[in-house]
Amino acid sequence: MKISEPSGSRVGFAPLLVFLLLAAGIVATGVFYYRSQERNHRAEVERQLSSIAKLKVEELAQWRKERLGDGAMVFKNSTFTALVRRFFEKPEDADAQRQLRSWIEKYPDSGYDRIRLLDTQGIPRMSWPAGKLPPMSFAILQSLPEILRSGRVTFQDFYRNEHDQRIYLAVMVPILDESDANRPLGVLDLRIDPETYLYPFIKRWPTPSLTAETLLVRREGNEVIFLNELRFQTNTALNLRMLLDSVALPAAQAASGREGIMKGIDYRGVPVVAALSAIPDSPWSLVARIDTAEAYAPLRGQLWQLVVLIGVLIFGAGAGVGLVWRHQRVRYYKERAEIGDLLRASELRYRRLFEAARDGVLILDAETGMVVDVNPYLIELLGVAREVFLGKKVWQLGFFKDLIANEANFAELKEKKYIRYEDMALEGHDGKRHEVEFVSNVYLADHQKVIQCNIRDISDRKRAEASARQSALELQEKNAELERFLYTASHDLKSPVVTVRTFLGYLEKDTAAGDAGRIEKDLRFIRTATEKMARLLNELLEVSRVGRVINPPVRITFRNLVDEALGAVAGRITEQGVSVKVGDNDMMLHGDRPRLAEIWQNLVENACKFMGGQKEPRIEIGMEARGAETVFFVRDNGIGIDPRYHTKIFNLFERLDPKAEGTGLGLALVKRIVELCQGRIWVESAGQGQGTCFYFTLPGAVGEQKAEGSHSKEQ
Amino acid sequence: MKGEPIIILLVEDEEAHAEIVRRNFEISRIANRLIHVADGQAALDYLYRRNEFSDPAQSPRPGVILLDLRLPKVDGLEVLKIIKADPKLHKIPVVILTTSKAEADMIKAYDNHVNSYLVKPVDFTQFNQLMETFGFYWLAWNQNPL
Repeated sequence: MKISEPSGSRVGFAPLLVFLLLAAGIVATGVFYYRSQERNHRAEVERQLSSIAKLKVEELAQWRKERLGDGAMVFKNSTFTALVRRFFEKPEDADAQRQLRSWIEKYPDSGYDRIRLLDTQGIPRMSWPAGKLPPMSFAILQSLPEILRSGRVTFQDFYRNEHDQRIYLAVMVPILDESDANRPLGVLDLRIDPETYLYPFIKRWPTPSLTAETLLVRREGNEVIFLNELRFQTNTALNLRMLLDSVALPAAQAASGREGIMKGIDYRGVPVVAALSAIPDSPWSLVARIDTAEAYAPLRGQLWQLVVLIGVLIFGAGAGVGLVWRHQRVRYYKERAEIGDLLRASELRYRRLFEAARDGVLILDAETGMVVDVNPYLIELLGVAREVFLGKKVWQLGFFKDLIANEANFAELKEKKYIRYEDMALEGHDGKRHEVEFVSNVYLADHQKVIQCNIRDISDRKRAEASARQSALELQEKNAELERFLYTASHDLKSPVVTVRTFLGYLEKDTAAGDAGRIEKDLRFIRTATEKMARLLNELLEVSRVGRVINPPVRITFRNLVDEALGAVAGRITEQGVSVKVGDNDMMLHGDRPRLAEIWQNLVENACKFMGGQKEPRIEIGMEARGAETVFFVRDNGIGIDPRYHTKIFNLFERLDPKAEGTGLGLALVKRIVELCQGRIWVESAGQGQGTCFYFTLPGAVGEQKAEGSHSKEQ
Repeated sequence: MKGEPIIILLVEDEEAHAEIVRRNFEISRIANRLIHVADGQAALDYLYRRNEFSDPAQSPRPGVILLDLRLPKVDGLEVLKIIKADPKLHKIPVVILTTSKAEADMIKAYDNHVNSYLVKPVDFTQFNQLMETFGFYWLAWNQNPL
């Protein structure tokens, strides 16, 4: 189970990044939206200003045209001109005066506050409304000659009347005497008070606004002069002048002839948006302007809404990301805790496995060969304390000297990665050798290369294998022996049959021939052969019974056994005059009593048989300790046995001397009994005439006796 | 047929069987001289003229050897091996005469270059016929290089 090791920053960084991206997206969208809104709004504002300006300009232009048209009513009117001439020539001409006044009186409808008839000197001769005739304004008098000279209806632009300090405009109509080569007679002055119509018209704004206003300006030299009363400053008309080169000042720009929309700073020093337009056929320029603050106020409101919205969205995004992050965090820690639990459980399981294993486990540091861990089984197996292992290099331990005797061996172990030895001997602390199976593996554990050695004690298995091999070998031997037995038995049994049959044939012949000598001889051969056959059959039976027919084991002393055996062959011993000497040592034996007695019986019989021409035949029976073994012996001073035949003699039906009595079964029988007692039998003889000594051991009978003996003592 | 008696070395531990062989040769008219030894060791002693046979006049080289397989001291097969391994002896025809009909024995004998392998018949007449035939074959017809 593998989990990625989370660094704190990694866990925190991703959500933060997501949040930042989301926030940036929201802000960008907001900004984009605001920009487009602003653009639209600005266009709207500008369109509005432009249309207002256009409307006013058109109206003003129309207004001027109408005024000039008013003037044209009397211009070059011969009737009017004639009346004026009559009046000027005869001021007392009441009729002319009356007719003239009716002309003039037609005008007030068009918004003129005073209409005067001036002579060429600028002296008013007639006025409407009727009343006192104040002197003419200087501005009028000044422009008078030009008007007369031009001979056209002319607008007298805004001017201040120095007598009443009021501002007026006037339409000046020159009166020319067409009958007298256009001689100027005077001027009709149609004075307009702007307060009645013009100023209110200019001031009027089609929508409710706190800052919007229309300015009428005109250029005077390098200055701009404001022609109307301003909204935020009093006494400006014809008083407020500003430099024409004020680039940011819409009034100045308008006076300079610029048209269209501009942003600038107005006379109050406040940022404004303005539409500039010149009024055709006039020195005037119109500025329709509104404070930027007001114009864009709705936008600002929108901006605030947007900011609040963005804020809310960002907060929402933050909260969302935060929630997701928190959830993931909680899940992560939960998983971590679960994995931790699983790991602990797994660790515990493997630890138990390591500790409870009935295999030795040794874990080595692959780099240094240092023992990292060792399990209790191996400690138990080798019979040393755990401390002996730890902190040592494996080749210093000594237990593995067959495999890892030095550092070079260890390097090889590391190199091969996987090693398996079926049979390796491990020597424990107590010197006891264990047959083990050794397997080593190199692997990575926690970024550290380790070598794990598994050591399985297979001593029992090896023992079982050895025992099985031994059994198989024994079985093989037994089989071979059986085969030999069958072969020899059939062969040796056939031999007397051949003899009997053949000599019976001779007997028949000899009987017919009446040869008594031959008959006797034939009969002897037949007798000998049948006797031999009978003995052979007896002994075969005997041999087959050894190991097959088992008498219940009893306890009997060595001497008792020997006495019993000697009793059985006493006749022969006496007959041959053999002196038998039995050793003083005695011991308790345990086993099949008649069978054990047969050993000595056969050996003594054999010794008697091969005494040869010995004058003082002697047989010595005894036992001696050779190392841990008790060795029994039967020694004679007979003919001895050639060393060449020392093994052969124990074979079934083996006879060294063809003339000797017996079938060659005696020693084979002895050997079988000895072997049944897990013993060995061998012969020692210097050779012909040197006497013979049979030695044998009987661990089965002796060992049993010991156990029995101690047992009986306890009782 | 030089008129000289052919010497037969009979190696047989069974006295009765040796008697049968002897009687058969007595009956047949072939000039021969039967020398009987009872074990393998004695046979080798005779051939190598050792111990009791050390006098060459008393132990002439046999024209044929009749050898039993189961012999005391030195086994018949062992005797055969020694004879056939010795360049001085291996020309002497060796005929096994045994009670054993065992295949293993036969193979071992022929493996060791035996010249003939005869099994002792249990029947009296057959034994006589065998010996008669043997006499004619080995003593009359068979040519020995000597």
